[in-house]
Amino acid sequence: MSRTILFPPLFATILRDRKLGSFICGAALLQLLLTLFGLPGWPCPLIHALGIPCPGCGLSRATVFLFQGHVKEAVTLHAFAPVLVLALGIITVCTLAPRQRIERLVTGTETLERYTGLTIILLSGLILYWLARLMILQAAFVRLIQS
Amino acid sequence: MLGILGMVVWLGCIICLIMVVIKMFQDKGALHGILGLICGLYAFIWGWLNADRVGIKNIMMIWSLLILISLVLGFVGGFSIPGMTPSTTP
Repeated sequence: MSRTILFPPLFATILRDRKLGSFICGAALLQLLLTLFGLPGWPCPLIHALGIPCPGCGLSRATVFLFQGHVKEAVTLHAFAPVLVLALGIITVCTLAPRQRIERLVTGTETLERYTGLTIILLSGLILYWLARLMILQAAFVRLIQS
Repeated sequence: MLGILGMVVWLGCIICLIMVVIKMFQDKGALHGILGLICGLYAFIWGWLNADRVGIKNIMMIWSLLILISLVLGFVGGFSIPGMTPSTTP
């Protein structure tokens, strides 16, 4: 089995789709601004219906903390906030920059994804991180999301 | 009453999310599907951008309506999460 089949690219396909990228940037900016001003943003159906935080719960506030320079609070709230900031930064660059200029970046990202399986590792890490917080630190996790 | 209505709305949102994520799995593969499951906002954006192509316009309209209702109910009654404050965002 070849590596191409083992590790299909995900992030590179998002980077190539400028329409999707622009909507992601717009939605993320709106979500972060709403969170910054303490207004209700994108609601998580899982926590509202079942009371269980989803793997992404806390990411918006953690990202806002990160932008404010509160790294410790950000990582305590959600360890994947720096990854999200980096991903959003790359998506923004690829959405706004001329297509010829970003082609090397997108191709490089695709190669990295195909040969290292980085996206799969990160997604698996996120799910494991969520499961660990949910099973081992459940009360603290819910308290953290509530705060 | 509002609490029950809120629960029904949120369960509706979860059902819509699952239906869109199933379409993502079928159309874009497992990784996109997992990302949609983890990040509902991504599934929502992808759903609207591909609503006509994959035939989920009705689901997206229902999902959007449910989110709108949940926001209105949140303002009216401050219901939402069992034992939690209504301001919780991902």
